[in-house]
Amino acid sequence: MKRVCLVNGSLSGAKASSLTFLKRLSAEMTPALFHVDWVGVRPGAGGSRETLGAMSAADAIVLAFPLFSYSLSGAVTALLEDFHAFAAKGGRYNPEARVFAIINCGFPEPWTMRESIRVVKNFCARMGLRYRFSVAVSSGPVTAMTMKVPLLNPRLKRAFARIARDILQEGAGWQDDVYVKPIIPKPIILKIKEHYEKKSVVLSAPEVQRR
Amino acid sequence: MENQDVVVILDADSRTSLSDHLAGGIQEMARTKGHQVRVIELRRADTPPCTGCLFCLTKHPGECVYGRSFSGITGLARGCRVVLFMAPVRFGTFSSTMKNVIDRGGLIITDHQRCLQIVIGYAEDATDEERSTFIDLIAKHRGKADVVHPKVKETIEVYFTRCREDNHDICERLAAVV
Repeated sequence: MKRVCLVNGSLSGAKASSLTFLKRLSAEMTPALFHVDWVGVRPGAGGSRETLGAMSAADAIVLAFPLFSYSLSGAVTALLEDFHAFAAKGGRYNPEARVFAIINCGFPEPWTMRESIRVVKNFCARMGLRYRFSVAVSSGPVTAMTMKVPLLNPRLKRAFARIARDILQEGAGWQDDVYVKPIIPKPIILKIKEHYEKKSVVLSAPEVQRR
Repeated sequence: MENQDVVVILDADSRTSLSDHLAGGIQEMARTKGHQVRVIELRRADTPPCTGCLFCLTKHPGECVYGRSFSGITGLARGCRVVLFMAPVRFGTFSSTMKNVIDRGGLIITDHQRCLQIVIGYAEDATDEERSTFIDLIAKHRGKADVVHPKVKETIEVYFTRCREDNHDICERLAAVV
């Protein structure tokens, strides 16, 4: 049995897209083969003892988080910092643990998340953990809302199944990151974005209109 | 830019001899050029993580639902000619404390038409990949991403230091633009 730590890196509560994706992923993990620990970031705290304990005992860690300013949010960064500090102080963890990331953002291009993937890889390199692959989901909230619709988001659903398979496979080879494009066409997403930007005091000031 | 304020925002929990050396050099350089320098020291305990509610970006620019320290930061930064983020770099990104400010529109809350924004990442033990990741991250804020906030294009200078020699180079280059 593999012990998996699912980390919800969103502070948006029950409506978080990251949480939706983790729940969908957990459906791929049969209780006979996986023991799943659920942890998450919390306001005003980095990694609690419980969270660090679950991460350090895991055979696989899945970090699910929204993109904030093209990178990990401060809350997720704090968790990684605390795990790194825990290890630096001699805390025991499983250096063979496999690490996956599920990242989502509101942008229509999944490539926007490339640097956040590099940060996760850098974290793994620092910790000596086994980075496997990331799943970058553009237009995350829309994708999360349509996860239960049959036939939609097949690439994402295959990616989740791939994570579960990879955890079970010893010595699996290199895996490419998965970039999931939105089901809504990019021009429509940009229209929606413009609509919300018009409501923004900061971004709609006359002197800062898009050039 | 003459006799205008320079605001330096730093992570007080992650000060190192390298960052102290750099901060000292920057302040000396800025004061030599006639600027008033304000230093804002962030601490993790006073900088709660952003929840992504967009309160600060929408109808309440620069304000945070948490209130507290963040509103004070934006108040000081607003109206200044130069805002300089001295950022400890972790795994190729900002430290969590600094990121909590950046996440709250830290790079877009100031007046970009008049304000020069500078980000200096520092980490003595940063790998080449971490350094490269950090610079690429800031580059996205400068408008190279597919979709970016329209206000930030070409308004952010980014530097990275791993040693005192880098600090000297940065201070020389900053002297030309500050």
